[in-house]
Amino acid sequence: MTGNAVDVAGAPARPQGPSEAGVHGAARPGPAPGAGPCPVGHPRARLLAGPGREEGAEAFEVHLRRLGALPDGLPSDAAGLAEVIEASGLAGRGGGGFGVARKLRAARQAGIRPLLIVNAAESEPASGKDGALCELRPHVVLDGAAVAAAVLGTDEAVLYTHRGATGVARALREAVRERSAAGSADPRWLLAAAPDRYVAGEASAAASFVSGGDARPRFLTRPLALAGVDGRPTVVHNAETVAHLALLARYGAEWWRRAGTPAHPGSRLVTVAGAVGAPGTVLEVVEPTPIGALLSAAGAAGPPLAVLVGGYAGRWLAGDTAWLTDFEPDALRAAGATVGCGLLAVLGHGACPLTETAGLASYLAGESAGQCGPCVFGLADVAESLHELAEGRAGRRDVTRLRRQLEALPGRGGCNHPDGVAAMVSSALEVFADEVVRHTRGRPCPRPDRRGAFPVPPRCAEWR
Amino acid sequence: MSDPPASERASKAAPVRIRLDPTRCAGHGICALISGERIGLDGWGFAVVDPTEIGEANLRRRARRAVAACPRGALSLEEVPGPSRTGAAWR
Repeated sequence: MTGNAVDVAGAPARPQGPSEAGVHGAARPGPAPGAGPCPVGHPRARLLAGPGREEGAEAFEVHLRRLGALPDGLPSDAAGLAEVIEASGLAGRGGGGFGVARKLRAARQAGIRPLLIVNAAESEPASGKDGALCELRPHVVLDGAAVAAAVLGTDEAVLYTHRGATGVARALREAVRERSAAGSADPRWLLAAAPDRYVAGEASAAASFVSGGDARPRFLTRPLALAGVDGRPTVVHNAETVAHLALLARYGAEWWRRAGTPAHPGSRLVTVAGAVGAPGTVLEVVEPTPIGALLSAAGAAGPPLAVLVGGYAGRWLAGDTAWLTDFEPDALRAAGATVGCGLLAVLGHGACPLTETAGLASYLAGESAGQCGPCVFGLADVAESLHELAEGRAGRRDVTRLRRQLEALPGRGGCNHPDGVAAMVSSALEVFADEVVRHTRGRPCPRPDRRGAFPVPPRCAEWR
Repeated sequence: MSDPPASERASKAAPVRIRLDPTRCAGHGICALISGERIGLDGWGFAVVDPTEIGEANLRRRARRAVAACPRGALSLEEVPGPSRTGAAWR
């Protein structure tokens, strides 16, 4: 049935063990306080605890020695696990931030044969946190997926990756093989490798691709959790989101909530990209930590010119502001940003922020799925206006026109792609207001380095 | 004093609203000519729908015609309550 999802390995059927109390504490990782930014292997890390990055993927037996097996009787204690997830307050880590317990409950109640899709298609070009998690801690991700499947009451889980992310797919496939050989009580794993398009990571696009269609977002009249792949209740969870379930099932909600803040509990992964010493650094934020500390951990010497927070369709913050803002949803919101996919893209002092924004807008316009008029024509117009502005060819009237174009975009697409791009560009016009004035007055851009600082992949021509 | 059956209540005055599937809209613009009160066109010629509910009979009739006239089947009427863009909130 699941058109673009193929069997990874013939995992044995899960033994129907007797019901047992759900949450057992194996050796718990240390307490959170004083954690700071945690790189891979840091003793206070949670998702990223264990061997260092140089050791590569953690083998199944190493994983089991470190964390212990998942609690016995997983499938029959779905109700207990659902309560733990509910009590945790875990919200999705892919960008939407939707409550995990609610999504799972809706799908479980919706009817027969729900489907789980683990979204490891990290479509943000500069983000690497889901990739690092899958490549270094594949069994934490798969444990979490097994927990989510048990709570859903399904024996099928699709691992959804990008075709170009061969390392991620290889790590997951190898991990599935190890578990199968060890007789792990897992759901049947299916692998779906989608084309490398930005919007292919959107949940409805993932569901569309898994059901055999294009990896394009769909206009939904009902949530996927009620009617998704082939009409089955479908839950799409980001790889980091399910990884948290692996820890929740072992250590319980009370421990899990000691990370993060009471309103937004749990640790979260961050990717630092752009003008830092070590771009691509993935860190785990266990307690509220200023963005400055995260950038420093990736080799930044001091506040940069600006930081693009949450993804390429995120929000710009001035470097000084970002440096002091905690990487935590409420603090970011107060500063005018969102956590998004956890990306911190750093723009150095030598770069022109308008040129960078124009480049990103062009990339994002090109990544439209081409289905909705406002997205197809609107984003192209916005990108063109931005290039004119960045090149000193636009006047004040042109900026006014650009603002009107931006206002016409939110809520106008089948998915939120145009909304995100409009928000990112609007934040640029606000944060870089002085630059806008300078550029409209025809003065030469004082920042000679006009090359794009952020990585932009070549356009993939395929949708299937 | 008992309530009329649900079917009768719905057919009488259940307020409706217009829903647009933006992936289908191709910017023909016929809808905006028919139901100008509730449907406009943006600078690129694509339909912009006012999603608030319609109770008044004349507005409703024109909305219904606009829905029927769309060559792409991009418009529909849905009864309120019922989320207009459920998909946007959670997917």
